[in-house]
Amino acid sequence: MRKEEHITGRQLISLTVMAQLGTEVLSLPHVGATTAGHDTWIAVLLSGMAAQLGIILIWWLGSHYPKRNFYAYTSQIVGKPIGILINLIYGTYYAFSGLLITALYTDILKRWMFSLTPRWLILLMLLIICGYAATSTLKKLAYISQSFMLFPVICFLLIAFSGVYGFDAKNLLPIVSDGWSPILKGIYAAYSAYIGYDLLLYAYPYVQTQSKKKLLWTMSIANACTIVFYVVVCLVCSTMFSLKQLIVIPEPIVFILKNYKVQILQSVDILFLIFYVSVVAATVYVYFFMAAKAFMHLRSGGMGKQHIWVWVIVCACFIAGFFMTKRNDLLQVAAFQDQLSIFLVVGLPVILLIISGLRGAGRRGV
Amino acid sequence: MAKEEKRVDPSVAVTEHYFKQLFADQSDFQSKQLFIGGIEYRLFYFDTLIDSSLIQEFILRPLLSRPQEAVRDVVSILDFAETELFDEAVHAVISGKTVLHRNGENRLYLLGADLKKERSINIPTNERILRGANEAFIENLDTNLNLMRKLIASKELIVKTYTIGKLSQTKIAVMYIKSIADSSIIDKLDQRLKSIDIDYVEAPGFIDELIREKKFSLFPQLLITERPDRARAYLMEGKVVVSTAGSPDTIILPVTFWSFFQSPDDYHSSWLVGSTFRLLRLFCFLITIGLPAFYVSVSSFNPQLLPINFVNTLQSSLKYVTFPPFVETISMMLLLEILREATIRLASPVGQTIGVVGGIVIGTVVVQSNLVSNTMVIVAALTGLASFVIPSYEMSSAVRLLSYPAILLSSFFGLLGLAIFFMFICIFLCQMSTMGVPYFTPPFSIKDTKDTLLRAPVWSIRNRPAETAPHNQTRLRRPRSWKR
Repeated sequence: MRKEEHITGRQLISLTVMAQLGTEVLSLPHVGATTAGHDTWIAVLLSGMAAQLGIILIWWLGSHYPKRNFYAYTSQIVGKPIGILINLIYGTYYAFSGLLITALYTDILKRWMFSLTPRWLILLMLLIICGYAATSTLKKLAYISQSFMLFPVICFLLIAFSGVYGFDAKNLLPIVSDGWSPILKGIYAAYSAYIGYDLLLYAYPYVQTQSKKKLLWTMSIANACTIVFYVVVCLVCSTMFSLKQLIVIPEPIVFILKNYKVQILQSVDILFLIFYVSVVAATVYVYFFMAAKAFMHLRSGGMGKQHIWVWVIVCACFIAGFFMTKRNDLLQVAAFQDQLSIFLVVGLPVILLIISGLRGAGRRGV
Repeated sequence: MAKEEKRVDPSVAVTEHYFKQLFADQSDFQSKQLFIGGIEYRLFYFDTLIDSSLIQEFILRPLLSRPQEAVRDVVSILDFAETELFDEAVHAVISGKTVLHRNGENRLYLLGADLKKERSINIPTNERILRGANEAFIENLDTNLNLMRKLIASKELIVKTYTIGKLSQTKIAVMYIKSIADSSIIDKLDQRLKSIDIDYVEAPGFIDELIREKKFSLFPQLLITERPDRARAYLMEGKVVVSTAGSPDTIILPVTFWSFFQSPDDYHSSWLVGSTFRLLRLFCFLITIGLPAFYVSVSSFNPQLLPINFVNTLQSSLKYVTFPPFVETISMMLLLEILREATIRLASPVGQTIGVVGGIVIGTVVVQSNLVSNTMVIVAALTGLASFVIPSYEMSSAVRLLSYPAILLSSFFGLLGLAIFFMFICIFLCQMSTMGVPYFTPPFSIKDTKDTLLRAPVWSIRNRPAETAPHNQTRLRRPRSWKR
């Protein structure tokens, strides 16, 4: 196996932020509106706090094994056969998530721009570019994410300043009108938007920071950036549209961007949707990368080469893509993936942490 | 050593026989017989390689005047060597030295009286600048080394020579600053240069392709320059300069993507002006890749992107054009490339006609006859101009070639294709590395932008780039301390 090069804290921030931001920026206000109503932004904010707990959890787990990545220490915690099974599950999960995000974005593109282009062609193109990026090392991946960081920044500014065209703050009121239960549901719905910080599972041993605390701090900054991005998006959408409108519109951000009237550009929304491909790709290639690494760790000495695994995953995803064409199917699969990701990103690490704690305690007893 | 080394025999006749046999077919090989003071001498040389007046003046005359003394004391030539091996003598004769043998001595004298034919140092023709030094390297390696030594009068400047080319025996000089350069890079280069086993070297092309990291990359991985001042600037960053005999182009490595957008002019003008021009060059890089593709996608895919008035203008110019924008763009871009190639190859007096043919005949008539739209001509001209703004010829050609796949992708997917293509380039650049140094690092902090995206003021660039000069970073101490 190739030895992984170290990355800096700064690089970790951009990798994490780019992995967290995905198609959710477009759909979150709509999804939030159907569950949490006016209080989407509170739900999203709290959800980000919950994600912070998730980060601490993974960081804690990682700090038990500071020299190894997640896939290498699973079998150390639960023994070889189960460890391999866990790696297999993670690999499949990441490949599947990558495919799902690509399919969702393809769906958006197809509805907004490419009504005549065959779906598989767009999907194939996106998968190839993500697969190509995923063949690189963690450090190179960080460079790529850093370069793509430009687009979320531009997107954020565009969204934040769209408020100049008039908004209605009354739409936010009343706060917490229906009690906390819709907000709790909203937190659950929004949590999947923060998934991506689980990159730390793999990246933990390769980050060059002065101390473990500093690493946690770095991750928190990344998470905070994502929280700000999402909360601003939700606030802008909630103030610009009424609740009734938000429930009907699946991608409110695009409509808001349509508002921009610049002399030289007629539709900023088209540009936004197109350049958003870099943000989506940054999530997907991290997932493919994680998947390939998981498959490589099926054997402790390393199994296969990274780029071969990546291209195998891309081929599998492309074939599977033919079975996910209808929007309703996609949304159902996405709902399933939300549950799965909460189990794998939060549940399983908790279990592993407990087991490793127990065994560690047992060892200390001896 | 497997081969038996033949030693020199005291008798001149044996030596003469040996040389005569070896150079039997060479009509310019000469063996001159001399008797001075009763001792028999032989001079062996190629009369096409030596300077006969030098031999007269500094070898024959001293020998005649003081025949009894030892040769080493008599001959007043600085480039003087002795050998007892025939192989060395043969090599010396071929490379232009004169070999002297005194009867009765079992050694040969190798005297450097070779004819020096070189052109004078000219002003750079391919890298023009407004301010700063106007010297360019020439084909003679010694002159080039002399230029560099004069620019950096320090014992830290190390010049290592290699001989590459089994037949051509081309001399290659590797220069670096000992206290700055990273030794691992030097070792890597040393290993790669030594691995070259080829009949002859065509510099810089052969060396470039034999030592570069990524075999199939379109982007240049070595910077080629003919300017000593530029070479010096990079030496001071810890980079290595490779100069080859017979070529005025020197290679600088390892370079990053940003080096191809730096020009010596940046450092001679105000830093604000320099930064603006640097940004302009990067913008031109994007234009060259993207503008034709953008035209294709806007005119055939996403016309809704632009304001309605502009789209109307565009469509009206496209109204009578029969070909689809894709064909129109590809043909105009090809035309541009043909014009460029023709201008380089044509003799300079005829070159004027190119302007007339290219500019007036093709530019105007093509539009009047509705083969290509007005807008397309503007796009093609702008793309061509933008590509020539990039200071490195290698980079600008690479970038111009990149516009073709961009056009193709745009004709399939419109702007999305263009965005994907830019992402592809970005990923490709990020994955590349030269000599273990990452080729493209996104400028993510102010420190990183200092001499990449921008040309920061001289007093603020206190450190050298960390990738090539990891151990000795400080390049400026106490800037502007007179003010305090």
